[in-house]
Amino acid sequence: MTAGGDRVTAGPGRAGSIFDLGYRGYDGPRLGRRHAFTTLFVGALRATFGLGRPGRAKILPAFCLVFPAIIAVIFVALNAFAARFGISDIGAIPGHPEMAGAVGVFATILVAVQAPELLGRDVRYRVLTLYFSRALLRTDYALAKLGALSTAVVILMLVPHIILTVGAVLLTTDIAGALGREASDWPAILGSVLLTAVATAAVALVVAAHIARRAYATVTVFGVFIVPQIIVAVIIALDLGPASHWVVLVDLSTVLDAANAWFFGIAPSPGVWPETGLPVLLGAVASLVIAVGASAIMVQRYRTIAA
Amino acid sequence: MPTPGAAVELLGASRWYGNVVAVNDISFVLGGGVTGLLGPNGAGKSTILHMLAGLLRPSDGLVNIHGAPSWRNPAVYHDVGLVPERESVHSFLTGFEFAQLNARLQRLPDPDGAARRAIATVGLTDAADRAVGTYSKGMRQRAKIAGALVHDPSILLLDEPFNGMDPRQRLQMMELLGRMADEGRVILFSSHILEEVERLAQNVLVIVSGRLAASGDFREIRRLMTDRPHTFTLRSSDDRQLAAVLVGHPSVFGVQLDGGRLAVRTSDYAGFARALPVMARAGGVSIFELRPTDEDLESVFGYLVQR
Amino acid sequence: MSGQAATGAPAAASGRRSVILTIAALTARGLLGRRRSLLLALLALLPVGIAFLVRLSGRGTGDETVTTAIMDRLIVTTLLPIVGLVFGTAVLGAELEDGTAIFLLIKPIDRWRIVLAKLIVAVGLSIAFVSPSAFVAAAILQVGGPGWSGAVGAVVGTAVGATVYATVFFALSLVTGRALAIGLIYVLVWEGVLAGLLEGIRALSIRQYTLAITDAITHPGVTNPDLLDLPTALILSCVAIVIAAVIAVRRLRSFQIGQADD
Repeated sequence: MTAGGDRVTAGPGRAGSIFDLGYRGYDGPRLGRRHAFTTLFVGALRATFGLGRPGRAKILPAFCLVFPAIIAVIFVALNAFAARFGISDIGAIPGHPEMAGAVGVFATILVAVQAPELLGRDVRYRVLTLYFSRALLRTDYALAKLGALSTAVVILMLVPHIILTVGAVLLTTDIAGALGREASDWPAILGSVLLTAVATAAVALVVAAHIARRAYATVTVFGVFIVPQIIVAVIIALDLGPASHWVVLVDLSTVLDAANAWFFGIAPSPGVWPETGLPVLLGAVASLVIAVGASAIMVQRYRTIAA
Repeated sequence: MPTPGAAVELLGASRWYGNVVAVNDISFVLGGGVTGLLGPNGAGKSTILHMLAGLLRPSDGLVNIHGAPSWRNPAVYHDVGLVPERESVHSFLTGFEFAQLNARLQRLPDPDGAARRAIATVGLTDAADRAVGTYSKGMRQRAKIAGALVHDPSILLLDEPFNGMDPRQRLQMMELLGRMADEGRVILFSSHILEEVERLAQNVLVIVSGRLAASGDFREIRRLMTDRPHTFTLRSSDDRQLAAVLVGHPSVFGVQLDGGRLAVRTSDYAGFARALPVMARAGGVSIFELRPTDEDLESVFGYLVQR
Repeated sequence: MSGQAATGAPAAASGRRSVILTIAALTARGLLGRRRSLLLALLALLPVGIAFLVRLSGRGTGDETVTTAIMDRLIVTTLLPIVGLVFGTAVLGAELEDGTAIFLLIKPIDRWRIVLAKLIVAVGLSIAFVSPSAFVAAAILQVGGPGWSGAVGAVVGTAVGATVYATVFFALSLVTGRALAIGLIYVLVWEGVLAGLLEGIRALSIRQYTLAITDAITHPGVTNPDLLDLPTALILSCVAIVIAAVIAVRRLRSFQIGQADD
C-alpha cells in the first residue's frame, strides 16, 4: 500500500538478495546437433522456394520451377511431333542431354537471388551469434545452407527430366522399351544434375557470404556466372595457341557443359569447348574441383566470420 | 466534422494492412504542448505518426494537419517535422551537413544559419563536424531532431525518441522537448515506457491494439475509471478517529494506519471525494493533506492493457 | 528561428534548381567511393582491356565473332543492364528500403523534382560507367571499319540504352521491393531467351533498342533485317523513358512507408 514504483528499494544498509522466482533448469533429453542441422537445412530449403514467406517471395522461385517444366513439356511435344511424322533425325530433337543447357539460366537466377537471401538475412538481423551458440557448429551452418541450395537446384533441374521421361513412356506403345531407354539415361542425368547443382550453389554462396548487401550480392553472382563466359569466348575465338585453351577452365558454364557432355557421352556445345580440343572428362573434373573448392571456401568463411 | 483551427487532427482514422487492423477508428485533436502517444509495442503508435506525416494513407477517416489532409500533400512539411525511429541518416554526413541538407531541401533562405541554430538547439555544436557514423545513439537521435527542427516547424512528431538512450541523454532529450513545447510547438511523441511519458507529457493518448483506449490528462483518465480501486493517503489531526469514521462509508473498503499517515482504498472516486469532507466534519477531524498515491501511468496503462 | 516556415516563396527562385542539385549531389556522394562502385569500374574497364588484348594479338579486328563477343555480349548484354540495374535500383529504392530516404520524403518538394534528381544521378552514372568504355573498346577494335562510326555508334547506343535501363529499373524499384530479381529476370529471360525466339518481343527489349541504334550509326545506310530500324528504336526508347518516369512520379507520390517487402 505505498506509492507505485518504490516498492523495491535498493538503499544503503540493505542487504542484497536473490529472489527465487521458481525457474527451473532443463535436464531432460536434448535433440542435439543432428536435429539442429536438419532443422536448419529444411528451413533453408523452404526459404529457397519461398515457403513460409509472404506471397511475393514465392513468385520468383515458382517462376524458376515452372519455366523449366514448360520447356520440358515443349520438348515432349517436339518428340511427339517427330514420332508422328516419322522424323528419325534424333540429333535435331531435344532430349535429356539438351535439358541442362535449356534450363541452366533458371538455376542461375534462382541461386543468384536466393543465395544472398539465405545468408544475408542472418547477418542483417544479427542472428548468426544465436545459431553459433547452439549445438550447431559453424561448419554445420555453412553445410546446411549449401545442402539446401544445392537440393533446391537439384529439384529445379530434375523436374523437367522427370516430365521428359514420363512423356517418353506415355508417347509410345512399346512401354517396356521406352522405360529401358529412359533408365539407361538416368545415371547420366543424376550425375550431371548433381554436379551442376552443387557447383552452381557453392559458387553463388561463396559470393553471397562475402557481400553483405543482398542487391549487390545478387548482381555479383550474376556477373560471376556471365562475365567469364564472354571473356573465354573471346580468347578462344582469337585462337592464341594451345596454351590459351586452358582458360576455359575458369568458366563454370563451359566446364559444366563439357561435364554434361561427358556424362551423356555426346559432343559439347559448339563454339568454345570443341575449339580447345580438350577431353570432356576434363570438364567434369574441373566442375568437381570448382564445386569442392567453392564449398571449402564457403565453409572456411563461416569458420572465421564474426558472428 | 473536422475541428476548425486544429493543428493536428485525426477523425475516425483507421489503417489496415490486408485484414490486419493496425489503427482502428481513432479520433483526437492536439493543441500546443507535449502529448505522449503511449502503448505497448505493436499497438499502432508508429502507424499513427506515419499517417500524420503523410507516409501512410489512412484506410478510412481523416488525418489532417492544420485542416488539410497530410496524405499526398507535401505542403504540410512546411509545418511538420518528423523524427523517425529508424536510423535514417547517411552515416558519411556530418551532423552539420545533415542539418544543412534539411535546410536546403526546405528551401530556407539561409540554410547554413538555420542549420547552425538547429545544431545548437540540440546541443551538438561541438560534434557538428564529425560524421554521423561516429555518433552515439543519443547524438544520432539529436542529429535527427536537428534535421527535423531546422525549418522551425509548428508541429514536431517523434517516434520512440528515447529508444536506446542512456539516462543522461534521456534527461537532456526531455528538457529539449519541454523547451520546444514552451515555445508553443505541438509535440507528439510515441513511447512504450510509462515513466518517459509521465515525466514529459501533459497529455497522453493511450493506444491499445490499434484503438484509442484513453486520452487527456492522465490523472483525469484515471479518475474516469471508477470501477477500479483508488488509494489515497491522508494526514489529519486525528488519523485513528478519521479511520473509524471512514470505515463506515460504503465507498471505502480498506483503511490502514501507517506511521502518521492514513491510507484509504475506495472503489468510488467521486462518491468518496464528496463524502470525505462531510465525514471529517462529523468526526471533528481536520484534514491537512489528501493525496492520490497510485496516479502513475503504470497503473493506468496496466489497467487499460488488461481490460 | 521564427517565421522561416513562411519564407518558401522568396527562396524559391534560387532554391528550385538547387533542391534538385542538392539531392543529386547527396545521392552521387552516397553511391560513389564505395567498394561496389570500384567493382563496377573494374567491370567497366574489362571490355577495354580485352579489346586491347585482341588488338595486341594482331587478330580479331574485323573478326565478327570477337567483335560481337566484346561489343554485344560483354558491353550491351552484360555490362549495360548490370550497371543500369545497380544504379537504377540504388538511387532511391535502396534508400527507401534502409530508411535513409525518409528525410527526403518529408520535405515540401514536388515529387517529380525528387524523381528528376534521382534519375539524373542514375542515368548519369550508368552512362559514365558504360559509354566511355564502349567508345574506347569500339575504337580499339575498329568496329565498322576504319574511322569513328563504330565508336560513335557505341557511345550513342549505350548512352540511350543506359538511360532507358536506368529509368525503367528506377521505376521498377519504386513499384516492388524485389526490383533487382525482376530486373534480372527481365534481362536474362525476356531479353536473353524470349526475344531470341519471338521476334515481336524485340519491340519491348531495351537491348534491341541499343543494338539497333548502335548498328544504324556504325553502318549508316545498311539495314539489318534482324534489328529494329532507327526511328522505331528511338521512339520506343523515348516512350519507355517517359512511361517509366511517369510511373516513378506516381508511385513516389503515393509512397507508403513499410511497404517494401523484405
